[in-house]
Amino acid sequence: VIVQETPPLVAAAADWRFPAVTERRLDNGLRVLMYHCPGQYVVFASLLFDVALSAEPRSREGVAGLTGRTMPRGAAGKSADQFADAIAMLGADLEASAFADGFAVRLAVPATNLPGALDLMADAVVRPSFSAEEFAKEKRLRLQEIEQTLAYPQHVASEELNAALFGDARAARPAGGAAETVEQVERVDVVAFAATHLHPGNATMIVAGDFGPVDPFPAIVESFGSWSHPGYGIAAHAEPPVISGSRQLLLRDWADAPQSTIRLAGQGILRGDRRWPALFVANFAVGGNFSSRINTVLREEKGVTYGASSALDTGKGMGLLTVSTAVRSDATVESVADIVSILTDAAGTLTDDEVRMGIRAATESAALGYERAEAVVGRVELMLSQGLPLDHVDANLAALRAVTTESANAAYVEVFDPGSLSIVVVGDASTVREPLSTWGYADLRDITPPA
Amino acid sequence: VCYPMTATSLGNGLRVVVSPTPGLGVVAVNLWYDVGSRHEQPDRQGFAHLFEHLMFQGSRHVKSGEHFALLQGHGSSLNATTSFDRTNYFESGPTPILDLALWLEADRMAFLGDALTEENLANQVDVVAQERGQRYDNVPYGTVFEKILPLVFAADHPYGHLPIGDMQQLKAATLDEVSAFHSAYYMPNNAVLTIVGDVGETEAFEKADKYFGHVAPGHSPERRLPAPLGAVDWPARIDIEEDVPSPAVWFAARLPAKEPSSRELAAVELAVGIVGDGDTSHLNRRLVRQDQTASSAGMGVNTLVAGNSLGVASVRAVPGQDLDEVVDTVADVLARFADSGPMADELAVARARSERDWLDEMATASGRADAISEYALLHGNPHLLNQRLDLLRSITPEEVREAAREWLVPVLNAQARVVPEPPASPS
Repeated sequence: VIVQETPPLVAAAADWRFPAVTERRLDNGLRVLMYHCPGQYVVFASLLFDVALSAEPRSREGVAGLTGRTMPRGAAGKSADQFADAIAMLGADLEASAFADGFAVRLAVPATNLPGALDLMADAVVRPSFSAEEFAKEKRLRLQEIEQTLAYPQHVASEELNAALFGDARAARPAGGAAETVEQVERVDVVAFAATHLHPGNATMIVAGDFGPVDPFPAIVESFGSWSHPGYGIAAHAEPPVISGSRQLLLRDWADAPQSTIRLAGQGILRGDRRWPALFVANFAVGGNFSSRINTVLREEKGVTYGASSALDTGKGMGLLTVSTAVRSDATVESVADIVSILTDAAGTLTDDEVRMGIRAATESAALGYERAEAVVGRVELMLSQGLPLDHVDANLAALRAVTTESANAAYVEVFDPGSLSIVVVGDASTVREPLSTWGYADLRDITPPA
Repeated sequence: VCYPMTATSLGNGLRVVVSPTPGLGVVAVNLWYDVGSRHEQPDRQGFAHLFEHLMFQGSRHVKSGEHFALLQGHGSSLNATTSFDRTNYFESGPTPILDLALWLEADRMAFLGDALTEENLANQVDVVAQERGQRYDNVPYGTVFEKILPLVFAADHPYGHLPIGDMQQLKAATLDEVSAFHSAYYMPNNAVLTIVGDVGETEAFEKADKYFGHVAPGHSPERRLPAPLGAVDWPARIDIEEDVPSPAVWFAARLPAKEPSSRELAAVELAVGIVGDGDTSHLNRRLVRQDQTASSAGMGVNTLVAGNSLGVASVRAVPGQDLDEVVDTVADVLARFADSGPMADELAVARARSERDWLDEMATASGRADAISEYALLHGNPHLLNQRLDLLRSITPEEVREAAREWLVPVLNAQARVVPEPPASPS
């Protein structure tokens, strides 16, 4: 028996293109994008509205999220329970939620039940009850959710990072609103939010799945064709937030925590930026995969973490490069210093091998990444809400193939400054404060938790 | 919907199942080994999972770290998981990775020992300790599941401890033990290989034989399953005080073991769906929406083969809520359901939800491969996968009611209650 001693060569993956779109528009202005995805027997749909969280009144932040939560709680004369039963009977899920750059009503349903589920989706959007009782329940649940999430160090670390980065901008505060603003939201605010922002003129229906021989468009017309709206406001977009804090080191005490939860962030770029593909490849090498420089040192060499990674974060009209990990408490300062060193040393040192690997990884994973209809809908949502053209995925893949070691190094150096990071540590101050305060990257600032 | 599949065995006993999806552009490779935390020695809890980590540290022809780097570098996703019953290893990516994935899996099945070092072992013991920290110890309520298990299964029962295990015991593990574990469980005749996606049946079988045909079979461990246990019939309870935001209660239950044709387990699953899964569930409607004493409530099933499956319910109460009242309400919800059984619409909803979940699980080559491996390894027949929906559709309301009475109501007998620590008094 001869055992092969070297890895089999891997041929280039076949050319892959994002599923083809069929675009239509209803008379009421609703734009419809349909993607036929063979073998995807669960159809996903998203009705995406062009309204950013920055449209919320400052004193009522959380109103968009509460609108989403209350929307499926009764519609078209059906009580909350009757409506939930009707959705469940079709094997469907329907939810609505707000995120930084949009508001989406999302449906998942077996393809055979799509028409009925679209009717219910339209009921929720066009004829929601927004009953006082259901609104009160959702408001209470949101307040409880806030209290629960504040007990999770991972969640707190991310919130503190946003607060440190964005100063007074909407992006500095929780997407679903903080307790003090959610408290202020009343049912009339939810009704007003829906009336102002949720109309067919600023909505796109994205649908993907295996439609079989049936064109889904007539069912969409049937469900949403009669939706009219008196005024078509033009979506207002606030100026994108700027990073207001720079070179800062913050500690939030978490008594007796066995691990420190760590977040670092610096300036990144938007997906539409010509340097995006090159920066993507650079990030892949530094922290964007299991074999990255950061994970190799912290996990595979030092064993101080289960995992450490970096990501290019877009949305909110701006880009970030963020690093996330949780490390053994007694290795906190060493780990943060290691990460900063790796980020610093990466400038100009990305190798041909690293860049080649990043390009292949990013381009050849496309068929896998968009195998599910849900992933297709999610990507279209992201493209639309970030103002990208519908051919962005294919264009980006072509641009990725053209990245060179030079362009990856150049983009990293040009965009990312490891000298101006914002760093948040959530850990046991009694043991980590002293080493962090003498580390020297920046003066240590203690975050005082809300009373 | 019916997924085509063909099964065969190689000369060394490796069972191979192939399910082609022409034109997909994606291929999934999936291996299930018949070893999980239930096979561990009592003083080496967590060993199967630690071993899973070591499978990524290289083998005779693969350097440490190369497994991930090679596959991710060609656009693939990969990982492995360890549960009570089994350990699975899987990769999926563009079709041309098939040979590489099979070669990597075969090399570590055949030749892991060559690459095992004290350094790798010590490093992965550290990593697992941090995994435990991230998933359990540094998470509110994170250790409740671990603490409630002994109330339904004795400490020496295969399901008496969690796969993540005991860190002190893992620190004591030696390299010899790791090698012995590989010899005892990692062999072609104790595993199933499933290949799903854009590859023809003949080609897939040829490649399976090309890469795995040389691996020597071992003495396949005899499958020992403990006798099925009835529902817990005496009350047991633990009380925990922790730094948590609100009181909560967990319940656990022994359920019938997983057998693909078991009508009893299917009825239990539907009953659990009606009582505890999703927006329309009885627990959610009563506790969260009607009484408003909880912020979440639900129940789920972990289907297992060694005598029993495991059911777990939990209620996250609102701050300040008395847990006695919550427990009484859960008891009332279960008693009513066990008494009257499901309404016709409720059973239809539970079936529709199961069907959606199943289609969703089957929506990727990787999901199909994992499900096929499960049926082939644990139940000896991958084709049973395609009978799942028919089984669920055939369950009657009376069977669901009976399942609730027999298996769901006793969930009240094993409780773990968590309440917030009182505020520290000023010193």
